[in-house]
Amino acid sequence: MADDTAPMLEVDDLSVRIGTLDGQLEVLQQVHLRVMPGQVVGLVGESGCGKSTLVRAVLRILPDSARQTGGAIRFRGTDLATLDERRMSREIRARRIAFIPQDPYLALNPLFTVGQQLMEILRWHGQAQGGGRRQWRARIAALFARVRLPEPEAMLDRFPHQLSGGQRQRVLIAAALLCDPELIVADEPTTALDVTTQQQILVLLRELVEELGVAVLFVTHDFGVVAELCSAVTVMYAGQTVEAGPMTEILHAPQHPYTRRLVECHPDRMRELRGIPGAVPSLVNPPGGCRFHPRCDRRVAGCETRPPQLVDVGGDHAVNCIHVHGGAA
Amino acid sequence: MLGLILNRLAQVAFVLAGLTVLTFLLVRAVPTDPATILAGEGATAEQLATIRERYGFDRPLHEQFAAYVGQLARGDLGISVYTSRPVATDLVQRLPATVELALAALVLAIALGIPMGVLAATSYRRMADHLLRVLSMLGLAVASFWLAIMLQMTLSLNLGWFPLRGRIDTVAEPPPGVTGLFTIDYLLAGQPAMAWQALVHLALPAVTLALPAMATISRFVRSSLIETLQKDFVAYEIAMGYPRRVVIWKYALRNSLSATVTQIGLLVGLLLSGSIVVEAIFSWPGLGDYIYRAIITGDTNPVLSATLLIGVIYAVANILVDVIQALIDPRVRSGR
Ligand SMILES: Nc1ncnc2c1ncn2[C@@H]1O[C@H](COP(=O)(O)OP(=O)(O)O)[C@@H](O)[C@H]1O
Ligand SMILES: [Mg+2]
Repeated sequence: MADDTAPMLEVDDLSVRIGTLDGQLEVLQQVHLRVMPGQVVGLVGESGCGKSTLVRAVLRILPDSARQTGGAIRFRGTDLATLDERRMSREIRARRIAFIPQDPYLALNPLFTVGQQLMEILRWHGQAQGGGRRQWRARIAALFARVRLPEPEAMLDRFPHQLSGGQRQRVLIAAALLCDPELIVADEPTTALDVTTQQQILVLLRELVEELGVAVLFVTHDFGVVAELCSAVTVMYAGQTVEAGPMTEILHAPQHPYTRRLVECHPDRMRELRGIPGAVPSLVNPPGGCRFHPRCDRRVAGCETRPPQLVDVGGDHAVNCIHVHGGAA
Repeated sequence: MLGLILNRLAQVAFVLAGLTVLTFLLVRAVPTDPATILAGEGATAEQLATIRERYGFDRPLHEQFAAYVGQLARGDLGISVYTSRPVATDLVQRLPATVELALAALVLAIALGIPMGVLAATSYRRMADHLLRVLSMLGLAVASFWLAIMLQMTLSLNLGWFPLRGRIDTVAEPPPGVTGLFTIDYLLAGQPAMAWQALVHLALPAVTLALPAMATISRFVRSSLIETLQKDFVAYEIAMGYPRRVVIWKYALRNSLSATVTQIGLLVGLLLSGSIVVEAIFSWPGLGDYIYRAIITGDTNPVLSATLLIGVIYAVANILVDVIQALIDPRVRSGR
């Protein structure tokens, strides 16, 4: 069937602009990302660096005010920009790329039972599995059991407000698994939960991913989570990919000063990305040259003026920094 | 759910008590002497005094009120001077016509207002949205009596497409009363041609009455749907491949109906008060027409009783609204 050596998802030099009252924000610029079949890739970066925008671009659910202004997003070799809304919704979403949202308290429709909402997904995408309502209900209940929801049968007829946050997130995970997708995009799926529940959900996700062999793009601002779950990492800063590579290399030999700080300032690698002085710059008027230079401790002449390029340093490892260019760019 | 309904019933009782006092005071505060009207032209002072005494117009206001409430409690609404029949009889006879008209207007307003609101919301700030906004502003700005007369002049008098007035042709036989709604009763009696005639008579008054309600509904649906479409669950539903029309018409619309349903409850009041003008112009033999004639002739009892009845209808409509609200939203149902 599909070629397992070709990337499943490839984001290539993507730019996205969003029109706001402050003018055009270049929310994404020079974003690169690659997910191989069966691979779990972490997408890390501070809040506001454009992770959710990238996720929306992949699913093609960007707001009307946003526009893809450059680059390409290829899924199994197909440029998703060439698919219209109808084909995206019929052929790609849920069926091939499933989505786990950030906030389980807001992502479920309050007026419908969770069973009704998952049935709706099967109604439009369940043909592959065949069967009628009864089989679908059974399938959902089986998945509910698999994500360890209590009383899976009865759970179908509950309304979201009757469930805890952790239970809702399990429902959303079950929804993502409904149509046996090839790729799951999870946008900070544990951020809205308390610490204990977070840990339980992470354990569950890791189990499922190992069992199913599905590829995952796991978005988080928590480097510790990435270390636990992922085999590759892409680091974003202020709307750009600054470094990408295999988990072990990024952990042991980070090249970009930003990544280095992320890794270094938390030797136990289980903490959040705090403790880097300064703040993510405004995207209305981003710093010239390298966007990280105002906060960088390895800044040299040229950082303010010359925007670096993402350069391949071998072994699937790429870095976007003047030091890697050897200052020659 | 039962608790909710009981709670509302208590509120309704309170409101109706207030309404009774208010209407009573309003009517008695109007500087017409009810005895003069009852006695008719050229009555002597002595005759007037007798009438005053007989009907208790000479007693203090609070005593009159107590007597009035006592009568109400016994179901005695007094005699209409104008029709010289018991007001209760008149009301029972006229209620179905108003119910038919108001229901038709409500159905029209909902059936057109909701899709218009959805269309406006989904074409937010584009052509269709602007057009619909102008339309709904017109719908609210145009006075019912003006619209009624324009419709009569063009569609009835000039083009002859619609009858000018009444529920059916004056020579026609009313249907056997089952529901009291002519269109339905004719159908039940197996007279489709007459049902059509009743429907054609209903059209213009119903459209006139429906227009402002439709405009209101479409504006409410528009603004609450625009708000709902910003919600995370809408993005999630689209991200999980629900077709857009399903997201809008099933999942988002239902979340937008809460505000609209409340508004529809209030609109019942608008429809009932609007029916006074509309019924008068189209000679529609309902409560509105009855109230109109009673006001014109200074006939107290019908005004009081019909107003109360309208209050009751309005209150019942709003209890229904609460029930519908609970049916739509499980969180209301479970009292959260
Ligand atoms: N619809 C929008 N309108 C205006 N600005 C937006 C919109 N969506 C995102 N942004 C801006 O884009 C930047 C990236 O946001 P986001 O992708 O949500 O980041 P992250 O998920 O990494 O926290 C932020 O500065 C945010 O303010
Ligand atoms: Mg985000």
